[in-house]
Amino acid sequence: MTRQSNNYNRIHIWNPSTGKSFAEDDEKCPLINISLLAGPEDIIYANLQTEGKPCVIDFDLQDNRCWDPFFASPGLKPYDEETLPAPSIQEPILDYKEPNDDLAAILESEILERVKSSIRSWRRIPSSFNNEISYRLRIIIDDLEERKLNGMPPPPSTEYYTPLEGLSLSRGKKMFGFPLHSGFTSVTDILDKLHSTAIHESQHPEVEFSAAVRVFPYACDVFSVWVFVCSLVSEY
Amino acid sequence: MHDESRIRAQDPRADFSWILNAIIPPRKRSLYPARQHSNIFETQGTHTQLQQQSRMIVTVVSASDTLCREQAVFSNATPFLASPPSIRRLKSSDISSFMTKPSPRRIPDSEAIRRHQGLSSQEREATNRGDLNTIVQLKFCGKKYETRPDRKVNPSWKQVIEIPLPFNEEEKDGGFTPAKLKELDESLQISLFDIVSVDIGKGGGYYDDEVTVFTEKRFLGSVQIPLGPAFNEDKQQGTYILNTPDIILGYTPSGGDMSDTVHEPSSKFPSRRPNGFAPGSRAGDVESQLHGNTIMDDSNRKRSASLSMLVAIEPSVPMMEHSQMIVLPSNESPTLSQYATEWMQRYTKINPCGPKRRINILVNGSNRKQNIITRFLRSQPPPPECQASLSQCAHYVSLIPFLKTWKAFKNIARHKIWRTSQNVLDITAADWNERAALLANYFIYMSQEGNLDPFEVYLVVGNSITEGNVVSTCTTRTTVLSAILYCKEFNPFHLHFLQFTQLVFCRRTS
Repeated sequence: MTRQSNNYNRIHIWNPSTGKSFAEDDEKCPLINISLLAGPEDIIYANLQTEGKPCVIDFDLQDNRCWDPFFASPGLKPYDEETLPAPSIQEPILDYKEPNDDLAAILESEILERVKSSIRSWRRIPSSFNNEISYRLRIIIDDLEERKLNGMPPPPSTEYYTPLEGLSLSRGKKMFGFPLHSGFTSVTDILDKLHSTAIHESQHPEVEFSAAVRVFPYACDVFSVWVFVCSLVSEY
Repeated sequence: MHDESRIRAQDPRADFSWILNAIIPPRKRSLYPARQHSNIFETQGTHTQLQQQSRMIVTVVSASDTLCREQAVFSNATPFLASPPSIRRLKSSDISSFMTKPSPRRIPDSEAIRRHQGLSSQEREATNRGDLNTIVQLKFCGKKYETRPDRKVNPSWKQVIEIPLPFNEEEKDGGFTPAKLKELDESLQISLFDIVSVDIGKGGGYYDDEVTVFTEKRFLGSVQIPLGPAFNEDKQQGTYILNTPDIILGYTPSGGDMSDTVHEPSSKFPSRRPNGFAPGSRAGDVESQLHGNTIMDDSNRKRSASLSMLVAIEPSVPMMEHSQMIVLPSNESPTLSQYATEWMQRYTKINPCGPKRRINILVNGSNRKQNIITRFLRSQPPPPECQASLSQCAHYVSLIPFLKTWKAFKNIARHKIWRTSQNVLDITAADWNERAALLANYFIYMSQEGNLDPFEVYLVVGNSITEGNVVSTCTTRTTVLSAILYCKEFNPFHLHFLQFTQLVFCRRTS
């Protein structure tokens, strides 16, 4: 049994919930017990190995000791009916709604308003927002979305200092901030996430905030929502 | 009075044991400590017993691949405010010269003043190295629990946190069953924070004895763990990958990480753009084409910070059998469904993992029938704007709001139904299975139609340590109700028991 260590024959496991992929040898893959593989046209294999983690098990599907095939299982008498493969119950052509740009723009302004008012109400003291920086943050978000779409890793954060540095307002300020990215379910969900990051808890007397929101529309009212929040304090 | 040492010296045996002890020191504890059996939760246990005993034990072990603090955030051309020129720090002597007697707030102890004046030398040193001072915060049912801070590159806390499980007072007379414990609809939120000490004293305008140092929490990442998997097994141990923001201003990835990905042959294109920041440039399109042609998306394997943890419920909850399940009429021919049943029974016998690994290839579809799992797989085109690469498909699918079918419709149906892709897109909500099937179908389309190198696509069924993000969402109710109304008499426990996560898995053929 040889493992396919060649780079050109690698297995990737994709997590549909996060859009991330893991190589088979990645120990951090959240999958801990693989039981079944299913492919189109009635390909089904059950795992016969004691281990279930993708980084330990053998993916040689021809090996009957590791994988039990559904239709050629050695322990059962062969299946001899001509009805296979079972026709799929999925639709051959999917009907997509056009991306909704108008709704995205409305969401964008609404989320930004709610983020600002929520930070103010959580802090319970007057908090100022810097609009000049938030314009630059929007450009950063555009770049991050494009990278995400193309499967590229985000750059080190130092790369984004260049567009932020020239601002007179940011001069001599220490900046801390991050973008939160998610699909759109409700504004409350986004605010809950923001609240748990505790960025509003800054006790610095001269702290200034900056927030930017971008909403990218996709087909069928799927939205990619980015909320970039950062805090600026003077560095002494 | 006896001189004991003399007596001992005269005794040859005592002398001998002393030498022996010096060579082989006596064992302080046994090598094999007796195993402590966890209490199995009794079905007959009274409410108060359960309330007092039940707790969740979380052992936070360590974190890896965390970030580094950045030094100068905005380096200006002019050295900035090395010492504030205009504002002079008020000294106690200034005040006392104006006042007849010293301020009552003044602390005479100079040590105490120095302690408050700034960061300790140890803190400064660590900050200069860029080390973090991290804590892990657990949030459960609105209550927060924190570990102690640890100042290391790869922090290790090895701390045990006990969290009492909440119970409704109203349920008192209803009697408790393990099933109710499993129905707890809460998730454990785990966040990683960096604790930063900020000294605002140098800004001027403060008294010497005023406290000018305070701490701030800086968010580094978080993960949500639904309690389902923790209940289904005695304990859940593993490495949880945190959902970290793509970038954090003020922090950089720690040094050792990049070297791991650089040698991968797939990173043909530069991971960093040469001209720095150029949004929407044509360079991005070229890169995407390059990227689209290669299946090895190693580049999106950005090393996220991960936490290694153990989550256990005490007392442990016995597994529930789902014997009362109602069987739907099968969509398959009698021969095929009989063959499938035989195959699954045979697998149960020869499966080396026992009850921990179960398979079910006949799943309930929205056509009110049992279908063989492969009927959900077929080539389906992704949306037109996402047809360039696999990562675009994955990005689109990951943005579809999450909906646990049984969670959203508590009183109607809790049974696992696989809806078809069109149904998913119509209501814009999907659970794990539907998302996985959708992504698999997009990948099948890409493998056939897209100009990518050939690869195979499989749907992987298995258990995972975290079910990803659990997001509840509201949808147009009527659409869903029509699809799942029929299964109202299903056994609700079945679902909690089988919490699978499907992941799609691709294999490249040579």
